[in-house]
Amino acid sequence: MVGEAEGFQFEKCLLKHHVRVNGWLPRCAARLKAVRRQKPRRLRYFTFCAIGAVDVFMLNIANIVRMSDKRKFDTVVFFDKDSDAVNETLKRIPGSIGFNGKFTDIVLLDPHSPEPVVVDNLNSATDDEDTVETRTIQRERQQHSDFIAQFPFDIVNLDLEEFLFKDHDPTPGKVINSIRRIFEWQRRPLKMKGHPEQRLEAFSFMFTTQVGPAQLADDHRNTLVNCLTENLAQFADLTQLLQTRTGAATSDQLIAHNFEVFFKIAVPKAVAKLGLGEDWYVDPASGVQVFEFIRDAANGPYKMLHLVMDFVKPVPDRDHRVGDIPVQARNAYSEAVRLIIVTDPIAVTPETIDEAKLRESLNKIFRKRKKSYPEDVLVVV
Amino acid sequence: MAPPKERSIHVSEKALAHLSRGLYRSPASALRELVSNAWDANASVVRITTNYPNFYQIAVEDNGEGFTEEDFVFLMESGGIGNSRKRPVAKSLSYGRETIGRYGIGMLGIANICGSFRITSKTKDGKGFKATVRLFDALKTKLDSGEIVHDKLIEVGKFSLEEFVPKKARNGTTIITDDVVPTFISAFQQSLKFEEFEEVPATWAAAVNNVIGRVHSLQQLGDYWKLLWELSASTPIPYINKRALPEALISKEQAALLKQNFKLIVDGVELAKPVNLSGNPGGYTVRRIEPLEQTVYGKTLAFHGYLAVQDGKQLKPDELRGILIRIKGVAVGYYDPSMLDYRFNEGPRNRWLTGELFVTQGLEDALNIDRDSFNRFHPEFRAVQQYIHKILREEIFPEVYVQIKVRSTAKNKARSQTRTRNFLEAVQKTTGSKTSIKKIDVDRSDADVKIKERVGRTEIIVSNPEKLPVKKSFRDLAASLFAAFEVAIQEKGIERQRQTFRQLVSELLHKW
Repeated sequence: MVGEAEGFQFEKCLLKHHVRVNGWLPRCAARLKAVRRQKPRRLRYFTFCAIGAVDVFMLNIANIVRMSDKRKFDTVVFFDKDSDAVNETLKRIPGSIGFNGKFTDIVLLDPHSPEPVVVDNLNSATDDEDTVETRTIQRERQQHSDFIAQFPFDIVNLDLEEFLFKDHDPTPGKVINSIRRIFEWQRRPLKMKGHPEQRLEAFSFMFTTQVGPAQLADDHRNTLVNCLTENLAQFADLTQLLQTRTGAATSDQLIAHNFEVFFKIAVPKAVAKLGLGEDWYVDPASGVQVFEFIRDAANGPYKMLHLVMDFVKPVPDRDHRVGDIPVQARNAYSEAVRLIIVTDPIAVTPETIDEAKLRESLNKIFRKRKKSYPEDVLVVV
Repeated sequence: MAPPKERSIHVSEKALAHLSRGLYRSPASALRELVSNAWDANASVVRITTNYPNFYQIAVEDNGEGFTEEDFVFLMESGGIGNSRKRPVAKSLSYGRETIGRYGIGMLGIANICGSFRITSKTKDGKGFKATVRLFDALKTKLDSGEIVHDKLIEVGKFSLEEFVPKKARNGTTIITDDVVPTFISAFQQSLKFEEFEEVPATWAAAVNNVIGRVHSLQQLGDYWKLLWELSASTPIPYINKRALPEALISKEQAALLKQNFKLIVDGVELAKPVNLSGNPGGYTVRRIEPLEQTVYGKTLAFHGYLAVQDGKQLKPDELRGILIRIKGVAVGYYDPSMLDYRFNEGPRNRWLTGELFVTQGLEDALNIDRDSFNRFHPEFRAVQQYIHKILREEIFPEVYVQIKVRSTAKNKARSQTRTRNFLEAVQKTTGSKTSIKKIDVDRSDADVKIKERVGRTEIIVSNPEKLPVKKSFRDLAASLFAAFEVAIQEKGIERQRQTFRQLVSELLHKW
């Protein structure tokens, strides 16, 4: 099953692993260091790790994500599309907390509620009949509540192996709205056994998406264009910077000339804006890394984009101020946007990676995984 | 692509009783059935994942021989489930195992905790199937109305076969449900918030020794722990080690179980039988029941086992108290604290006893339809009961009482020695004189206390302490008080005597 099933499709991809090792891993190590400076505790990690949990094992080997003293990955929370996939993952990272179902559907279940309503969703004292439909609704509501209760995380890794925007997905799109809610829930207090309640000062955010689709629906296109245009209007030097990098002075020009470049600027910019809207600003000190690589597929190659950034809470934060986001935070945000516009993505190709080192790293991960789940087939790269 | 065609699931009337939710007394009973199926399929590992701490899905997976689409369809459509007459021909099992033989019933037993599930199975030669099984909601209502009764078979749901890709499946059988009933999810989630709930340790041995063995009842730990305990107690898995019970009571059983090569892993923790008795200060009274055979109405009844009493100390948890009967290694119900309806009241000693009976032949006819309890009036059950009760009445509990007396005597002796030592220290401290005490029996009708000055020491002689005119439990105290008086009056002057007496009595009572 390993290597054949859908969930294992990309785990041997060296290009992807280069991103893990050179993008995710150092960022997560820095996050651990930052947390330890305040008060040492185990990091909380949210991921779409897929069945193989390669990222989890990578971080575990590096002592960034540690098991509990009862040998459980209880600070790892993951989502997967169905219960088969969740089950496979649970066997490999025992003690982790899995949610099954469509991520955006669970996150957006109650879009108008700012906080989970504390009711017993699973209560049988209901007028609805005991049918599969009733039970499904009850479970989905409870999953929504339970997922929110898991927040916040020190590291959020949304590794979507698909398009950010889909046809017939009303603007701004389910994924964008889900990210917004995630940023909102990141403001929840952190409650960990043995530690006083605290609120996160910062967290690391990794986001993966497929570049495209080239024929982006108009409303999604306009969302991205408007988002970029807003910034260009706000900060005069950005137009010049954009032109220097891309040859286009406006968002419209850019998307018409070169959709791919536009996408690679607009998406990180949009994510940064989402964060700001929920009182998080991108930390320019640690920068925004954007990796890209081409993946071969039966119906033609496509490009994957990986963003790596840190979000910081402004001081004072929203709960402790009356006015708008503080100047310092706004300046930092502008600097981050500048960085996004001027910095070319890091192109990951077979020529630029250290294959031997990546193979060694992957094999170490697979051996660790086999120890965790002995019945698994040992994958060797 | 058209959705797969739905077909009907038929069960015999007898098997229907299993499907009515609630007949299995616990989720563990339902899951145990699947574990039994895995055993019969020659699996060496069964993994159960409960999606702890969410419990939205449950999966039971084994690496056994699997079964074919034809076998599955037969079970589903032809009333094969729970119907022994329609059972496929029994096969011999590996690892010296005996068939548990509840072929098929386990699959629908999971209906107690879900409304539908998916099953994938693959045999060693690559054949297999994948199916979704959906049980009717409101089964009882439909049954009462007759709409699902078809010529002695009851239609209890639908199943549909799905695309099966052998390359993507592993050998064995996987049953997974994400239609877990909300009451199960709620109960299990809530139980994690109990005050006394503790995370399950990395090893089951640590769980038994440090968590389970310290609570009065599993109820304190909640439903999740109960599930683990019940699975560990009821399935044919090894003990924690061969010394899990005193005097190597289960060492042969352990050797056999290890040979049978069967592991049960729940949420990453490999379970073992949840008993580990050792280190009791009062020791253990044990009785090995060597293999024996009896004939009951022409049928052979064969069993062996053990009974063990943890002398002087209540067993923890409560759920370990009593006698557990296993048929072919699988528990029938749980430990029976009534000790198979033992009619004598042994007081708190009842709570010291645990035992297992391993039935190798017979007793199956005495099982109730749920296969989780016995018909208490079945002749075979009565035969076992009488045998055990005789041992309890004539051997175990009499020995327990003897040991109580031994311990009590030893305890009293130790206490008396301590009190004497304390008193002598008090005398020495007060008078400055080295003192010893001697108890003697003399030819006189009463008791007496005298002081004798020896070279370099003072000797207190207590004659006939058993004849002191006080209750037995006060004799030591009375002798000490009289001795204190005799020591005090050796002092010169009434004030000094009074002071010495007060001091001695204070010291005496302070450490008494």
